[in-house]
Amino acid sequence: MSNLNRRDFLKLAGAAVPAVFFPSVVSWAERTFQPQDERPNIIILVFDAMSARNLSLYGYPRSTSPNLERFAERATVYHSHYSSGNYTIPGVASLLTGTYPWTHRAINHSGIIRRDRVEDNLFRQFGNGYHRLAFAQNTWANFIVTQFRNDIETLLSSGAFSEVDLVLNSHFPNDQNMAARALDDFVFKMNESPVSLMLGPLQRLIDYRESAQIPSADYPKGIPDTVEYPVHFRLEELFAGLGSLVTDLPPSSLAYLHVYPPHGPYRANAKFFKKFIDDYRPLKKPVHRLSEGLSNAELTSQRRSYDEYIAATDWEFGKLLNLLEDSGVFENSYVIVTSDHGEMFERGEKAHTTPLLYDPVVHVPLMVSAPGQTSRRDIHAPTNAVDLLPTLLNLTGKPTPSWAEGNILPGLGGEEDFQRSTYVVEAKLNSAFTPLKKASFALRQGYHKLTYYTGYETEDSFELYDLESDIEEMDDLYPSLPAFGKRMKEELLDTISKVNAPFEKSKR
Amino acid sequence: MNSLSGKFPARNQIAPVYATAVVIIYAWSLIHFFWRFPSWLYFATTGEIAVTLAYLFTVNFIESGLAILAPVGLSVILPRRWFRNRFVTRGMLLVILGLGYLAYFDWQIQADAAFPYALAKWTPLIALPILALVFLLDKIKWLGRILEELGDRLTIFLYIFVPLSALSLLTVLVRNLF
Ligand SMILES: [Zn+2]
Repeated sequence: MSNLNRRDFLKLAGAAVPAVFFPSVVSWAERTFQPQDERPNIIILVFDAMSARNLSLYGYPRSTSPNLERFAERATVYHSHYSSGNYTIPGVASLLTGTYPWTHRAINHSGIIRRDRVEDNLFRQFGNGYHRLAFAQNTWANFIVTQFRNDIETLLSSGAFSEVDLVLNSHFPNDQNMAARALDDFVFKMNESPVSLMLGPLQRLIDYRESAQIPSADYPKGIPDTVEYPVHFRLEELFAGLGSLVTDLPPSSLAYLHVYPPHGPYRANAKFFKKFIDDYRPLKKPVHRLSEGLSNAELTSQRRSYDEYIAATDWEFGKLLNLLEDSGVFENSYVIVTSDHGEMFERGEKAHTTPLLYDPVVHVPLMVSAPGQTSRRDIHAPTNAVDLLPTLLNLTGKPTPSWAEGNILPGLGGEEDFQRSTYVVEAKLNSAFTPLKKASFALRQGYHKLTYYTGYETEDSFELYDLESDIEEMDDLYPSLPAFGKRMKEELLDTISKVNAPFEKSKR
Repeated sequence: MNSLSGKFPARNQIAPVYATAVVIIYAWSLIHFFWRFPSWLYFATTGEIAVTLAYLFTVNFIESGLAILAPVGLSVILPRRWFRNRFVTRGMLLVILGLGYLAYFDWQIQADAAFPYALAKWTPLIALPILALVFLLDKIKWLGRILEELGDRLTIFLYIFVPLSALSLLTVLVRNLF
């Protein structure tokens, strides 16, 4: 209750009562596909936790992504693309709403988009002239996607294309979002002591038995799973499933396909396991005071496993790519490849549960292949996940909605703009209902990046980097505060106070 | 065959045993609920937290139904004087020991730990010492009196949890059917 006063709480309670009973009556009719003339398909493939910084596509020394590079030869490649948050919930929410976390408010672990803005989403904007399909293998991504249930004709279970799928929410199609949060994320959540005294251990037993029966000799560390949810899958099966799904899409389809790999646990198959025991030594960086303080040896070993898992994922993507090429999907589809956030192995921090906003955890791949495109184009101006919604709408002849906070991507109707400001926001420890006071913000302008850590146990701080000359973010320019840094700081603080203003008011 | 209905325990015998199961099952889940509660306040509305509770109570309702099946089943299967005649104390002992074992088992399942499959595999055999304990402990007269007294008091919780569970079940049904 710390940040919620009593009046806010009572107000929420009042608004909530009717919603307790009838979750899905709103816009029921919207859910029927009414095809008009045939338009190109739009296929968005999201790899979870794929950092641009670990892809050979973007210059990483290990050959992690030869197939993504092959795809790049027929796509527009964005070199400074950022997620809007540093983990799944805000990352996916920004991608699908075209708004920053300070607007959509899906900022907490297991959090969701604010209820009065759920209709401001990509699927609804496309309308029922498109067949809208979504698959989010990551349950947290599924929390966001199930909020748009009324705007999606085909919503696949997060356990689709898996060896074991004990996820429950897809059995509750009319109340999928609450079922996911109440049953899958609470009563039957894996990886902690069961909440349900009798059925909990039964579910664990079934999960254990079913997953133990899967032959896994080709996966030295066991086949991949989704950690807190009972889904176990093989990369080859997952991508084969996506292949048949994509090649069978009806004309005028919008497909959001969000796969879990290369998200941890990093379980490369035998072909790639230990592939990167090599001479590569990443640059040693000082431990950040907001990090977990992990040792360099631990980070180096984790990074290697991650790189191997990326390579294994890329290999399967390669097979999918062959299939798309052979079946002519590229002729009539926009194919978009991106990620919801990155992953980091430096400064004492691993993976992406962190307040930090260094490039490895927020710089993500983005490539867009237009129908019939056969050559590569490179874009270096900074872009952000919020740009995807206006871009895709533009490609289908629809205007940018007034609430969208991104721009049309350069090369797809927009212009390269090195002056514009784009942001990354991390606020998982801040209530979604109150101003952002305990949070991390990054402002990217041209090649400069200003980061602001505020409200944490240690003193508030800024960091400023020039990513053109210092891509590893080693030389903090903030102490000398050049004029452009000062302007960026004023702009960032001004933006924060503007986005916080509506929440400050509602508290009074 | 007419002995079957005679072996079915009376409602006032079932109530204290059922209440014991209800209190253990619901309390176990509610402790977890209140652990998670502070983090929910960060992003969930009161209505959503209420719906979460509705799903939880629905699951608990099903569990409590399963839990009462064991003593009622034994009462029907075994000769009258073995179980039916001392249904309250023996039933309560069975429920307490059985659910107590499950609580121990659940406690073994913690974050990042492997599933205790060896323990799970031998769990059906645990039924034997539990049954032996039920019959053994039932011989202790003062324990029987305490259990009867306790069971009687626990029935008060049925007036709270049964209506709440019925409302929860209704909430879950309405949300999913309409
Ligand atoms: Zn993610």
